[in-house]
Parts: sequence; C-alpha cells; structure tokens
Amino acid sequence: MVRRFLLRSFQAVYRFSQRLRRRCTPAGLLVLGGLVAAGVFGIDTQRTLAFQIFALLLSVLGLSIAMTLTFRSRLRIHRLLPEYGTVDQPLNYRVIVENLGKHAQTSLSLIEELETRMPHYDEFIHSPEPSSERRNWFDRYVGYPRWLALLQRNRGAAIRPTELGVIPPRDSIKTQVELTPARRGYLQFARSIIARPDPFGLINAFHTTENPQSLLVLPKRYPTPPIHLPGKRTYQHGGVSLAASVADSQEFTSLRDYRPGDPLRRIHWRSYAKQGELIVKEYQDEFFIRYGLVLDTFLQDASDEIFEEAVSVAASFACSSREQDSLLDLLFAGPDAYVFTAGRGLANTDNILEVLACVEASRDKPFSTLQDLVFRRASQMSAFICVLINWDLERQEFIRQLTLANSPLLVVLIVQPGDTQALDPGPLRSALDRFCVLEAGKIEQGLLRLDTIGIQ
Amino acid sequence: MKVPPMLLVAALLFWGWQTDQIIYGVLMGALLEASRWVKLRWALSDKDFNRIADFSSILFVVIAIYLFATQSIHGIYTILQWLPFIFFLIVLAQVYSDRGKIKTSALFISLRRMSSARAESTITEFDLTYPYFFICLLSASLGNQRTLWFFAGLCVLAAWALWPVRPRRYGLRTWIPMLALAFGLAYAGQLGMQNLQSAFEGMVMAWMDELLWRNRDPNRTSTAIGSIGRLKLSDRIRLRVDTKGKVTAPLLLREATYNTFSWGLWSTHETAFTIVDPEIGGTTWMLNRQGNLTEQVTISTYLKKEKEIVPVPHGTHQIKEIAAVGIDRNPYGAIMLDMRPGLVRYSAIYDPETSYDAPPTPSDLIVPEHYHEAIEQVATDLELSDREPTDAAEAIKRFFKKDFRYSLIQRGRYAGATPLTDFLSRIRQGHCEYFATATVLLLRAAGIPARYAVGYSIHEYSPLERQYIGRARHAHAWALAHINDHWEVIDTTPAIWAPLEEAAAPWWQALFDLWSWGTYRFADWRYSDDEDRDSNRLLWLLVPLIFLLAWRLYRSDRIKLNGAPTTIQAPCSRVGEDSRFYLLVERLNELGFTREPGQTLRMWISKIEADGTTQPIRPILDLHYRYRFDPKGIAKSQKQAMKSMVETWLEKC
Repeated sequence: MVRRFLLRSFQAVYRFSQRLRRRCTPAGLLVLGGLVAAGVFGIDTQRTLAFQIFALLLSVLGLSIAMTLTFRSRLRIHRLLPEYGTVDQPLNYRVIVENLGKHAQTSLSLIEELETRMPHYDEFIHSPEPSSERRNWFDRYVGYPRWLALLQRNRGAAIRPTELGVIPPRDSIKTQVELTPARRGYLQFARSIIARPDPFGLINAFHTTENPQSLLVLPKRYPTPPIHLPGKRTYQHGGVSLAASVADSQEFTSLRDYRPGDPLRRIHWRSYAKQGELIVKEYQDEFFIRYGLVLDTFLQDASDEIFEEAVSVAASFACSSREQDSLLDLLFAGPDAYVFTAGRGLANTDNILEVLACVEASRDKPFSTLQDLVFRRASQMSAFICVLINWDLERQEFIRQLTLANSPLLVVLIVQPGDTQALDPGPLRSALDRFCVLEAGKIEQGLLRLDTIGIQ
Repeated sequence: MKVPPMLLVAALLFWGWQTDQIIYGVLMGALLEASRWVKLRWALSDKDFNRIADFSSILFVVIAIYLFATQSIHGIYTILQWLPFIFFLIVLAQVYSDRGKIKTSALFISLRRMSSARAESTITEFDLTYPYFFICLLSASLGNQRTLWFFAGLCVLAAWALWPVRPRRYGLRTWIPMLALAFGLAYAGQLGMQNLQSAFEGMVMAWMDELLWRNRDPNRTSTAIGSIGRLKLSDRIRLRVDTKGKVTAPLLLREATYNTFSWGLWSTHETAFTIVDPEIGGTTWMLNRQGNLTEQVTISTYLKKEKEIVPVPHGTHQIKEIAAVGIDRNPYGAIMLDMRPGLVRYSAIYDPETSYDAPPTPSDLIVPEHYHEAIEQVATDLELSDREPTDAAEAIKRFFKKDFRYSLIQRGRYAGATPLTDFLSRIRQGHCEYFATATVLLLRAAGIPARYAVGYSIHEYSPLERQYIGRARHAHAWALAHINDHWEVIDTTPAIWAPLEEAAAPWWQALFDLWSWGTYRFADWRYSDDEDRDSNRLLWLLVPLIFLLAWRLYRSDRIKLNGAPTTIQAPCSRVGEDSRFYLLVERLNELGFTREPGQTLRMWISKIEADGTTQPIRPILDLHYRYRFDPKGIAKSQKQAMKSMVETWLEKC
C-alpha cells in the first residue's frame, strides 16, 4: 500500500519536475528557487523585507509566463536518424528545422523528447539499483533513486537541449543533436519541441511537433580474440542450402535408382525418358563448422547489470572474427526458445546484433527450456560458447551433459565484481581453460585474458 | 552562467548597508571581484572543495547553536543575516580555483558516496555565484530597514542580474518596458501583501478571540507588558450600551479589580463572592441600598458560560431588568451573573461619584521590590511624597500626559531591566496596561492606596444600532485611587489611543458590523420573552422563504416568464372537416338545439327529429358519417347530393 502510494508520488513528482525543467531556463529555475525561499522567509511581512523580494520575483515570473502565451511561429521539423546506435557510444543525428514564416527566428532551442515508460510496480519492487549499498537507509527504503534509475533505463537516453542558430525566413537550418544511449533496444522518439525564451530569459514557450520515430540501439561490444574452438566439421542436414538459399544443395555427385520417399523434384526426367525407370539425382552431403552461442537469460537472483553484461559478451562473440565458412547459432530463451543462425550467406552479424538488442530476461521460465533447445541442436554443432549469468547446480549439470556429448565448450560466466573467488568450476575442473569468469564492469580486461589462457 | 562584473560587489554592499555590516560587505566584495584581475588560481581538487564545504557547514551549525542559545528562536533571523559570511569561503574558493565551478557532491555528502561509483561526467557542476547573489539579497532583507531604498536597490540589482540572461531576440524596446512593468507590479504586490497579512491577522485574531474568549478571571489577569511586536486586538463587538443619551467622556465599564502586581500579572487575594438577593419580582438586584439613582445604562453582551463576570460602570449599586438565576459580587466590585449562556441585557444604575468597593488594605500600598527603585526614582522626581493625595494624582496625570506616547507596538528588548521600568525610564511608550500599572505603583509610592481595574472604555457610537458599542479592542485598564475616602478613577492612558486604534480598522469592518448587528437582532428575538413581538417578527422569516420558494420554482421550470401556452398543431387536417353538414349543425344551434357534452351526433339528431319541428336530417347524417369516417370516402356525386340536401334543408328551415 505504502509502496504503491510512493510509486504514484514518484510519478507525480517526476512529471512535475520534468515539466518544470523543460519550461524553465537555468535562470528561471534559480528565480523559482529564490521565489520559494523568499516566500518562506517573507511570510511575516513585519519581521523581514523578504516579501518584497518575493513580490518582485513573482511579478517577473508572472510576466514571463504571460509572454509564453504569445509564441506563434510556423516551423517544420524533420529528424534524420542513423540505422543503429550502440550502448554508451555517443551518436549524432541531424535535425532539419524549417522556418515557414516571414520573420527570422532567433534564440530558439530544440528539445528532443523520448517516450518514457514509467516503471511498473513489480519492476520497482524487484529491480535492485546498482551500488544501492552506497545509498543512505532512507533512499534505500523509499527507493526514489532506484525508481529514477529504472526510469532512466526505460527512457534509454537523455538528450540535452540544442541551441539553434538564426533561422532566416522561409529557409531551413540543419543542426546536430548528440545523444548517448544508456540501454540497448529501441529508443522511441516522441516529439520535437522548439523552445523560445521570454524577454527575461526565464520561461520557455513551446512549439511542439509530434514526430514519432525509433532507433535501434545495439548492445555494447568488447574486443574479443578470434574464436578457434577445436570442434570438427559436422554433417548439416539440408546441405549448403541452409547456407546459400532455401533450396537443396547444388553440389551434384551422381544418379541412382529411385527409392521410395525420394522427393519428386530430385527425379532426373531425361534419364527416366531414356531408361523408362525412375532415376534420381544425388547431391553431396555438407560438412562445415557451426558454433552455438548459448545465452543464459534466466535472471533469477542475478542483477540486471549482470544480464546486460552477458548480452554484451554474447554480442562481442557474435562480432568476433571466425572461420569464413562457419555458421553461428544464437540460442536463448525469452518468452519462447529461439535460434538464430548467421554466416554463409544466411543472416549476417548485424542481424544477430539486432536480435541481441531486443533480448529480454526470462523471469518465469525454467532453465530447462534452454537446455532442451541446446541438446536438440547439439549434434549439428561443432562447439558451444555458453555465456552464463549464474553457476548453480542446474547449470553445472547442463555443462556436464554437454561435455559428455563431446562438444568442445567454452563457458563464460559473468559475476558481480569481487565474486570471482572460490568459484568451483564443477564439471570443467579438468579443463580450466574452458571456464572463464568475468567480473561485471571489468569484462574488457577479462576477455583480453582469454588469449593468454590458451583457449584456441 | 557567470555573474556580470561588479554584481556580487553591489549585492554585498547592499547587504552590508541593510544589515549594518558595510565594512565586511566592502571587504568581501573586493576579494571576490579581485578574481577578475588576479590571474592566480588554485588547483583545488574535489576533496578540497568537500573540506571547504564541510567547514562552512560546521561553521553554520556552531553559529546556529550559539545564536539559539543566546537569542532563542529569534536567533534564526540573525543566522539568516549572516549567511553571506557562512558561504563566503566556498564562493571564494570557487572563483579562485582553476575549475571555476564546484560539483554538487561538495554540498551533499550522499552524492559524494555515489560519485565514486559513477563516471566523472555524470556528476553535475554548477556555479555558486548566482545563488550567492540571491543569498546576499535574502540576508539584506533581514535587516528590515523599512524604507523605499530597499525596494529601489532590489530593483536595480534584479535588473543588473537579469541583463546578461536576456535573449537576443528581444530588443531594449521590449525588455525595458517589461522590466518597468514588473517593478510596478512588484511594488503594488508588496503593498498588497502587507495589507493582506494585516487583514489576515485581524481575521485570525477575531476567530481566535471568538473561539478562545476567556471569561474574566476575578483572581488574576495577565498583561501584555513585555510582549514584543504589535499588540493585536479584534474588532469584534462584545458589548452594546444604551445610555439614553450621548456621553461626553468615555464610559468605563469595569469587570474586575486587582491589587497585587508581579512580573506582568495582576491578582487579588480577597476573591470571595457573596450572593446578592433579588428584589420581589426577581428582576432587580440591589448591590447597595444607600445608592442614589443618578445614572442608568442598559448593557447587552453575550455569556459563554452560565456564570460569568459582566462589566458594569464604576459605582453601580443596582442591576435590574434581568431574569438571572442569581448575581454574586466580590469586595472589589466584580459582578458575576448566573444565567443561561447567550445574549443577556441588563440595566445598571450607578453613581459615578461614589464607590462601593472594599476599603483599602495594606496590599493596596505595596510596590513590588523589583520595581521599587525605578518607581521611587520617578516619585522623587515628581516630589510625590510632599504632595497632597489630590495633587499627587494630578502630578502623575501630568507626568504621563507630558512625556509619554500611546503605542501598540513594542520593538525594544529589555536587557537588564523589567519592561515596566524600561517603559518609565527609557521607552516611554506603550499601551493602557503600561500606563495603568505604572500609575497604580506611582500612586502607592505617593502613599495613596491604589488598585488596577480592567474592563471596557465605551466611546464608539453606532448610528446603525443607535447605541454605543464596545469592541474587543476597546478593552481597557485604568487605576483606582483611594482619595478623600472613596475610590476614584485615574485613567492616565493618553486619550489618543481610541482614534489611533480606529484609524487602523480595516475597510470591511462595516460589513462585519452589519453582520454582527444582524446576529444581535436575531439573538435579541430568540431570547426575548415578548410573545406578541415574537409572532410578528416571525413573519419576517417568511420573506426569505418566499424568495427561496420563488427561486426554486423558477429554476425548476414550473414558472415561465412568457406565460402564453403553446399549442402543438396536428401535422395534418382531419378528413371530412369541410363537410356541409356542419352548416346544418350551426343552424340547429341557432334554432336553440344544443348538443350535450358526450352526446353523439346521431343521438342528438334523433332527438331533434323526434320533436318533429324540423325537416328529416338522418339521410344527410348518413352521408356525412360516410364522408367523415368511411376509409373509401364517398363518390363525387354523393358529395354533391349531400350538398344539395343540406342547402334544401337550410332553405326550408
């Protein structure tokens, strides 16, 4: 009850403060703060003269607000977004502002607004804030910083207002806007606002243009060593067709007699015409290297930070250089079990990254969902790279069964900073070079160490 | 956002001027402004800023504790005045640092803990100079120098501060008039705020007065002697006095008398009330049978409890025209009425030249020890001990009239002196309690037994009510001196006090008075015993009820202003309306055959035919019925036939 009330209060406070921050310039915020302070100390007009400061600031602000009612301009805004962005990498995009009016426009600024989904109750209750132990007890109990962190994550980025130069009449200008995505997935741009300050420079008047667009933010990637796992080439049912097209393999080897069950499309009609018996074409079986990149999405006790690092590690492996003719299967479980294959003319790395950009943690499904998916595909795979976010008995059993299937394996386990000590490699005790523990926040250093521990 | 050159100096000078610390203002301003010319900069780290901020915070806490210990809650105003001192060090560090800004984490310890977990870029930095400028203005306002110069200086500094942030899109032709308009509005606004506070306090006082109206305690009364600030009294009407004529001097209605003073509190030791027996009839009460029938006033007031002290004139010896359960009196002239709460009206018969109070006691000559020195000093100056009692009383009156002023505002603090001695020796202004108390003590110093009386001074005549009224702010105190074997009223409060208070009355007092009069009239009717008058007055209640009823009827659409009924026309005419038969009916009516209500045409015609005085009509009626009601109607020839039959019939009849 109290939490729900707090949640509603946070939403109200946030909306109010956002509105205030957008409407007021920095000078306006200072004047507003001064107004409140003067109001408090000037409450008794007999004791101090602070009420005169209050009256002055109030009249200045009142006139400023009145002046915001007179902003009528004809402006058109067009946003040019890039195809992708990357988490924590600043990206620039252009905005074209066109002045359709007869007068030049100056002192304007552009505010880009992203769609912001408010954290819902379960999210608020179950999402721990990184570094929350540094907060004081009040903040931890009330949870406003945690709520704010969730909100900022949901919004995805913060975009500072951009000053626009002079826009001549019936002309346009291009301006660059910079943003740094804070999370992967889609950033939803909602509207573009042109702000015009009042004569005192305290309050902004708005010209709002609904301008919905989206930008896909890919996960953060780290430099990784090339993957050379000691797996052998495996028979690929469906042959090169899997790699080249949706049709059968084009590598013709011989003709043979028809056997029941052979597809009609394989009948060699010319031979049938000559021989009078059904003859079918035979194609060569395809063998090539195929890696399985297994991503553990079952969050359970792990934090969001660990999960994000796991996605980044998976994206880093997906982007790393590998044999030219190898395939990479990304296996993970979300609302359902998913497999995406890239390489040899099928999907490319960008497509894998797009998928990883939208991977969500699975909180309500058992780990066995992923286990079943992996074992069904194990026979086709040359090797597995498993990116895990937990090292419980269930996962250890999963890895043990994979090792029993003689699949070459690299296990990358993401842990909280400082949790690397006293971790039992379990089934990989005999192959420690296949068990790599990476600390969240120090992933890059950890991945670079893979070279030195000789996994190649 | 950097402050423009010299703005901080101007703000600090303004602060120093308003708070009498101009030297510090000059020094601090010079140090801050010198940073623009001095190229020397300190490479201060975050930790250095944190330490300076912590030092400022500790300084603030130490000063706050010291000031609260020495000045109690009033210390908060001193702390606020000193804010520029407290924040000066950190602002100085900022302007002389190579960074030029400080991080928010320097001011908030919780942010410092988080800052180590965040990237450097996420910690915001800000410039303290503009907030410091505002702190200087706020602290300057605590100087409370109530001249126009403060507002003028404020306007100049505000314009100076707003100049750099004005957008270039607007020219001076827009900016200057806007600023002038803002200043004009601010000036009017600050005047309005002062009036609003005054009005609000008055209203609150009136409400509190009504809610917490304490009965007069005959044992003790606390005074406002020593209170700082403006003495607020309500304008609420407490009494109505019918004097049967105009009074030439304020009429003093006494509630109680006290004889012992100590630390702002007057009290009596002898407070036993005795029951006064009513005369036959039960509405007259003789307080003293030796009294002469000289003057009479009728007083109306409200009782909150069943037993309450009521005001009566000095020298009252008879109370009449009141159906009280009982009346008690004490030796000091206090009258306690035992009656149902609400409006009471009674007549007091009094002799202003006589007093029936208890004779003087040794208590009436005591000057408290802590006032002794100051009182003796004044008594010596006035040579009171050498004078006859009458002369001494006159000398005391002259003393207060000559050198003292009436005031409801006390600004001074009484370091090392009691408020009363300060009043006599230094301040020489105060309200009636100061005057009355000082008079009593001076009379005693002159060897004259004296007492302290409280009640109301009645001097305001209400043309609306045609009688005198006594408001809460008309509460008054005076001295009683025992001269020539009787108690004499000595009122040394300057006569200007009543006009002074009336001048401060708000403009809407007339409305409140009107409301008060309405409620008084209602209470008068409610508590009146005259049944005939009741029934007549009860009729007046019908007037608003009639208006209410009319309004409700009007609102509910039961009454229309345009009362003509609207009839809805049928969309089509009835078949057979043009039948010739109706000509025949008209003729029959002319002949005196009238059709009864509910009688069908056929029944009517049959009855007429039965008389045998007319030609046969039935065949025509048959055709008419068919024309009128047959869905197929009648042929044209039949219609023609009916027409000729009717014409024939009409010709024959």
